[in-house]
Amino acid sequence: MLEVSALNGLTLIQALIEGLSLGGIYCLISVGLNLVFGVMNIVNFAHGEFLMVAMYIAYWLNYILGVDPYFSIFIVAPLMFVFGMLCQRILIEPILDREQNDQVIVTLGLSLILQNLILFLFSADYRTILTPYTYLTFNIGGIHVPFVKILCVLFSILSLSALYIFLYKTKTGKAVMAVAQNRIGASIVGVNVARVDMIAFGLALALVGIGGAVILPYFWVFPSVGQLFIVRVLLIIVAGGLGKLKGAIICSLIMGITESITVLFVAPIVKDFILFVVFTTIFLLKPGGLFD
Amino acid sequence: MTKNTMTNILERKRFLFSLITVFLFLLFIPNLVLFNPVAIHVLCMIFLYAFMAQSWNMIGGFTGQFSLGHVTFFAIGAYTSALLYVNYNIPTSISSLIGALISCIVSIAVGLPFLRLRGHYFAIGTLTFTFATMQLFTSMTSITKGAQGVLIYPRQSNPLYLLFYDRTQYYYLIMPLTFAQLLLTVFLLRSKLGYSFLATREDPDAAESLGINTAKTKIIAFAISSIFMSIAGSIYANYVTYINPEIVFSMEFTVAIISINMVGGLGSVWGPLIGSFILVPFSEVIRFTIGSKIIGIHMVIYGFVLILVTFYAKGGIFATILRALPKIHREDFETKR
Repeated sequence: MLEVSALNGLTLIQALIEGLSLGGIYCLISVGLNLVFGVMNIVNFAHGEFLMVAMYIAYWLNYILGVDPYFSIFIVAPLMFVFGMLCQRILIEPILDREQNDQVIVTLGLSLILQNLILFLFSADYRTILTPYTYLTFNIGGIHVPFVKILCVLFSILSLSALYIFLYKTKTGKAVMAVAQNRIGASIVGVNVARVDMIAFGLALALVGIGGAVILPYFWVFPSVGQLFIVRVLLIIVAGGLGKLKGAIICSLIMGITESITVLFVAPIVKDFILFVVFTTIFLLKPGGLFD
Repeated sequence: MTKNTMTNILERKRFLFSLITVFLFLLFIPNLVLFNPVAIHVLCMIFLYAFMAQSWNMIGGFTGQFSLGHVTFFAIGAYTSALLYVNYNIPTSISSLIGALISCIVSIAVGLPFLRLRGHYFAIGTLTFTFATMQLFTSMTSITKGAQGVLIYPRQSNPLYLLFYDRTQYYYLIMPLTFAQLLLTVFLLRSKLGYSFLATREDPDAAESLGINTAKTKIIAFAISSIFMSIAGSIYANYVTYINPEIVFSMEFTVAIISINMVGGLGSVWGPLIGSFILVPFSEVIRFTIGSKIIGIHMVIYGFVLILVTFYAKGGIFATILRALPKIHREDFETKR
């Protein structure tokens, strides 16, 4: 099981870059999940399925209308935002007061419905798109950096910066943070908590939408792609601390880098198990999350 | 468990009488359906799922900790008994217990980090652990034959090996087993351990203040439920005679047993059986009729069932009906509202 394949500085740096781009995607997904948890105290187990839906939307936009995935962000993100607000209103809001286990079940049911609906509509075939720049790589001093991975990191940074500006500099953003800090206190000072809930959920889905559109050029689209990601992202937010955005970002990067470095040493198939062990260890060492 | 408790229960003649009646009825159902193979298969599945659902109920319903990865123990049981039979010709009656022991150890290992804390950690931990273990099993091709799977061969009809040609014989194995588990659950709930389960679910702080070690209680509940799940896996492997990681780690089992519990009434003793009698025939019929044309339809239905039952009929469908009937002894049907 243990194999060391041409391990040298270059391979390591390559893995690091790969890890950063993966980490960027995980950032987008986990920050959304954490945002929802911080504001509404719900772990949305259907989050991966929303990523899958976003990927399918971007895929069909490309397949039917020929829209470049990176431009489709401007369609997918707002669409997911509205979808998120609808979902929150119809499914999440009624269970906000219910106990935790009920919330888990409803989000689980939602994930099942989304996954299998897409399975029924579009079959289990793995789909992928081809763009003019799919194989474009830059060779910087022996390190091969795919163009799509660079864009990945770029969009992650852009999105997170936009999120930061929204949360800290706009009035609505500050309202979102206020609700996350203290739900009742925020409503006392006049924040429309129901509206903030919808916005937060929509925002989380918009981030996931960006993530989906960005991954599309180099990943496959299939109904259970959400499961792949949600497993990693759940580990990330547990280790980083439920509700802590900074922890999610840092742990996403750790996860991405760990993942890409691990495949250098071990067969890819046990990746998940090793990640589980690593992140459970992190969680055990600091149960409240990496940052208190 | 004191002698008093035991006699108290048995003295409830009505309970004993109804139990025996139900058991006899269940014993002769195969005759009632004229040994129709399809009906027998559905009956076997009903009781197998009821067995699994009841085992999940011990940690999920009675103790309130949702395990989203119970299927891991199912897989461990299935693989242990399958591999031990195929490689070393060990009877399933013994290998299922070995599998149960392994599951017990694994459940304690997973439970220790995640059950100590309240909140979503346990659900998340079990979900991610299932994926990780599935990957592990698929990768260890030298032992588990990886994605290729294990074929239970040679086939024989041998009660000691829990292998039969005739599905009806499987029914006579699974049904009494499920019933025995039901009885065990009834006695467990009335014991001190059982009360600590319920107390941990209802109010952990109050339980702690009364001296109940909630962390330990949760881990014990998890261990017990993993043992049963593992035995179910061993029997399932023999029943279907072929297993691979995708089959035995399938999310479908997790979803089915949670749905069964929700429909039958979460946290009640009869809930799993009732829910199973409602959901399993329903899903099998759907699978036979439109399942081939509309792929994935029964999972969509499970999803809707979960959401609708949570929204509108939280105590379970049967309990909602039963609340209208005053005279039946309700402790066993009582669910958490």
